Amino acid sequence: MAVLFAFFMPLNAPWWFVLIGCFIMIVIGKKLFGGIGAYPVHPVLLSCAMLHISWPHRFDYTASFVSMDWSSKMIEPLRLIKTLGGDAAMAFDWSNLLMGRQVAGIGNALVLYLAIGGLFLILIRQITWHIPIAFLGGCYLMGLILHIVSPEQFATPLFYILSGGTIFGAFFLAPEYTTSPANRIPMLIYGFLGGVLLLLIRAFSVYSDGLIFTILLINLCNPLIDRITPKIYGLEEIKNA
Amino acid sequence: MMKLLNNIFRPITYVPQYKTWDDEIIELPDPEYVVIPLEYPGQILYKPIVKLDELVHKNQIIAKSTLGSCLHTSISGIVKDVKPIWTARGYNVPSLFIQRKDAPAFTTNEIFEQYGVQFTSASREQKMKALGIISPWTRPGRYHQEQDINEYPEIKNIVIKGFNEEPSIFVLELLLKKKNVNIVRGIKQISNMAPNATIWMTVPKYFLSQAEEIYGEYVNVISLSNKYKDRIERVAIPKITGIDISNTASYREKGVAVISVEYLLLLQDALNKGYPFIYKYLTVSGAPISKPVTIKCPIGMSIRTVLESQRIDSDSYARLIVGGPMKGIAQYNDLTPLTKSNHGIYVLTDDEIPQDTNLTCINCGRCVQVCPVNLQVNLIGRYAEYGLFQETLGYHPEACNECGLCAYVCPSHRPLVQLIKLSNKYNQEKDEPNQKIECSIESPLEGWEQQCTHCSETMDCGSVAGDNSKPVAVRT
Repeated sequence: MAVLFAFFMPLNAPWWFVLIGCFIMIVIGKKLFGGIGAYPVHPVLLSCAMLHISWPHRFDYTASFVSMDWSSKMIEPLRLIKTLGGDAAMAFDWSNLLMGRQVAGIGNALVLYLAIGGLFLILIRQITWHIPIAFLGGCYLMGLILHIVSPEQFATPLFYILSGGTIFGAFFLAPEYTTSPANRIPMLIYGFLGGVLLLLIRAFSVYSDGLIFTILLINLCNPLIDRITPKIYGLEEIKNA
Repeated sequence: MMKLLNNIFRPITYVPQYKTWDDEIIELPDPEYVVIPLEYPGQILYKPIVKLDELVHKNQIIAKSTLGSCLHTSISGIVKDVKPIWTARGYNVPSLFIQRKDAPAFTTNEIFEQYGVQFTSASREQKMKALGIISPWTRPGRYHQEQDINEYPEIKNIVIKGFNEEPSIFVLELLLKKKNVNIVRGIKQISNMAPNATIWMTVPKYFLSQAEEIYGEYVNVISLSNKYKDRIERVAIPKITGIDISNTASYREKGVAVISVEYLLLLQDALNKGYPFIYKYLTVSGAPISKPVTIKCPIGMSIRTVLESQRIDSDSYARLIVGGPMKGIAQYNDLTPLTKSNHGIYVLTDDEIPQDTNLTCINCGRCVQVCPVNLQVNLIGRYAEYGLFQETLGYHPEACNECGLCAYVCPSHRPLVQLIKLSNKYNQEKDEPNQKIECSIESPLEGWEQQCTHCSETMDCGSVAGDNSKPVAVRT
């Protein structure tokens, strides 16, 4: 959990920032609800969301680069899209986005390595494919719709998937055991909902990247969605009797 | 290296299968003592008809049930004691201790003399009762009367199990291969008993072509895949017969009888030769044994004796399981006697036992995804853990067929099957409180009254030592 938290930290986060984040994560996010298996929302995301709202200028990947001068595009890709429109995506190369040559925390940048890690998790059966695939599918579908409706305002769906931690959310945050559904069909609904919601937040809210809030919101939907359960085998008689 | 990769990328539901096993059935000699349980909870209760310190001969009838079914001693010896012991299935039942003493075994005629009829003139039912073989048509449960049988539908389907569902037990497979002449005779007997029934036989996949040659004439041979999930009896039998049988209903209510190849052999031996049911086939498997070994041992032998015969000493294992790794029951000690309903011993070493058990549920959902009957296992387990049995009713824990897959895949090592059983037990008792049963305990055996668990459990049946009036036990 601490590793996931570290993945979200901007480059110049001061020590007290991390300390407060960890405190919120462990004490409020996790232990107050009853420890592992009992928290309703992902503690990492809870703490990140709180930091994000409390110190917006600290939780800002672009601002953290202000004192450095590297010869690359020194701005978050999503922020650029938000301010300049869909054509600005041309400024970023696919390979650069994929390899992490963009402004972000670890979790948002290293898309290729995160995808490999996620596939590994699926291969060793730690998570099932349902949530990541549905999440990315929802993302792609919503991105496509937005792009078709107004190409000058929104970038291509692939751009949204490769930037801003979509992969990280799909493979590492959304399928978190405690806060995600246990049945297969709810898993697909949950993932799809997450993908659609993510793009909606990115497109129409004040935040440039809504990953944190998206997953917090679908976490809250989890108990409701998980009520869709398959039929119990060999039970008809009991109901008739 | 390949093994490591296989281990990493295997499906989570993968239940290890044995590739090789010992093809011989080893007969064990009579042990120094046997412990014979007199009660099979939910099935049958025997009353002893012998006295303490009496010499009994092998095959002799030592106890009878109210309907006349008999229990035999599996060795010659002296009745030393009667006291409650824990059986392999976790019940505390009264049992007879018999210390070995050399004496000639009873012949068939002597058994029937004791029973009161002639072997040659006895009817089929009498023979089966005298030799301890329970008819496959009777209703399971001890409290039924003879006439109850008429309320049930005619047997239309008979399924003969040709292999064990547990991946570590090979008893039925070996018998299917080795004793095919007797099994064919047994099938003929069964089809005489139920002339209108369709008979099915499940066989392992590799044996399908041979089985069709040998048995295809008499039965419909069906092969099931090697996966444990497809072999679970309660799931497989409705598929085979095409009849919907809910998990709470008995097969008998649907006109289905499920018997095993071992039962056919016993039936065949009993009806044609007059041998009583005193031997049991078991497979011993687990890490300390290179190959699973199938043995034939007298009923009532302790697990320790069986393991010693296979040269497994108590240092090499950490836990004993009677049954297989999936459905088996862990034993408190190795002196537990093996009874008619045990098919295997599974030996666990120290490395195989998880360090921490019963951790918190992390809601990973593996149990839900693996459950063959689609139960919400995680929720039932959580409710039951905190004693909220009423809440579990909405999730229908009674549909569970206790296959053990949920507990197998659980990363927190939670005792999920036990939690479901617990909530079932609680809900059942709430539905039928104080089921009154007639319990007439009259026996020549001294001390039997105190040991009868019907009375000692509840203490309000008025049965005290020396009081021979027929008390009514209240079982809660």
